[in-house]
Amino acid sequence: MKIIYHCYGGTHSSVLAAAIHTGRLDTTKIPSTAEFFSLPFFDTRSSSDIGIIVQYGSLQNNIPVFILGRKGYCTAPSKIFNWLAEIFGVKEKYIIIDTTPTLNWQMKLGGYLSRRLGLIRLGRPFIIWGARRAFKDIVNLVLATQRRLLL
Amino acid sequence: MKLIYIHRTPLAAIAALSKTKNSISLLEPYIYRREHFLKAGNDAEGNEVYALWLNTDMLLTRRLIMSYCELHNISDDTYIVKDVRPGNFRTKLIAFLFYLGLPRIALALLKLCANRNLADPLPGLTGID
Repeated sequence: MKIIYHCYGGTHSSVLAAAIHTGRLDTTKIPSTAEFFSLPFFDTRSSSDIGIIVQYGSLQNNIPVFILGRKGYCTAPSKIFNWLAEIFGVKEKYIIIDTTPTLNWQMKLGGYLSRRLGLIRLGRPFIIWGARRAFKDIVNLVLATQRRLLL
Repeated sequence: MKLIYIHRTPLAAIAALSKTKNSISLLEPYIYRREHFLKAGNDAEGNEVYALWLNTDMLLTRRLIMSYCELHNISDDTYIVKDVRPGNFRTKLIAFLFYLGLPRIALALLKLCANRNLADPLPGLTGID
């Protein structure tokens, strides 16, 4: 079993979801700015990392958690992975979760400014504002994934 | 060895089927699909040939395939991903017709080309590693 969180650039909402799932972030309180930026890969990956899966950590039962950026093609990872499982005869199951429904306009704007335009100092305050606002939604998404794991 | 032809349109399947010398009619049940994968058969060297088409950035598709293989410890030596590139006007027109959602016309044009030049119906269609 593998868990893959994916979003547009694989550097904001998917990183937060993976960090929550692997226990790097406390779900009971909204993280501080320093806590957000101490997370590996948070607002650091560039367009050259799109499509590259990175392991973020593992759960206690050794289930690895990955992050992935896939531009605006939300359904591409699950479709391609299903076809490849058939081509290569891979039986292993994985849960692929799109984290973009949790995004808000602040995160989108901040991400665009910071990652696309390279205006990091301008984009980051928006990212933090958005990440704080979206934090509960991301926690709920992770809880839903954890419930799926139990099934 | 597995050869995987990728494109944004069913042109991937046409390239794969021409590699295996199988009839293009195998594609007919799937031509209306904007995204699909097809096992085209085996080529002359015994490689398994597949086609995968999906309306996404082709670089993303390639990277996702490579990431998936890395994730499952599938060796680079066991597969080759080939980007299908229409090389001449004829194949570019066929790809464009598929892209517009006119697969019947694209297929009719392809068959017309095949009837006129049986030896190599799509000389402009190349797979790039």
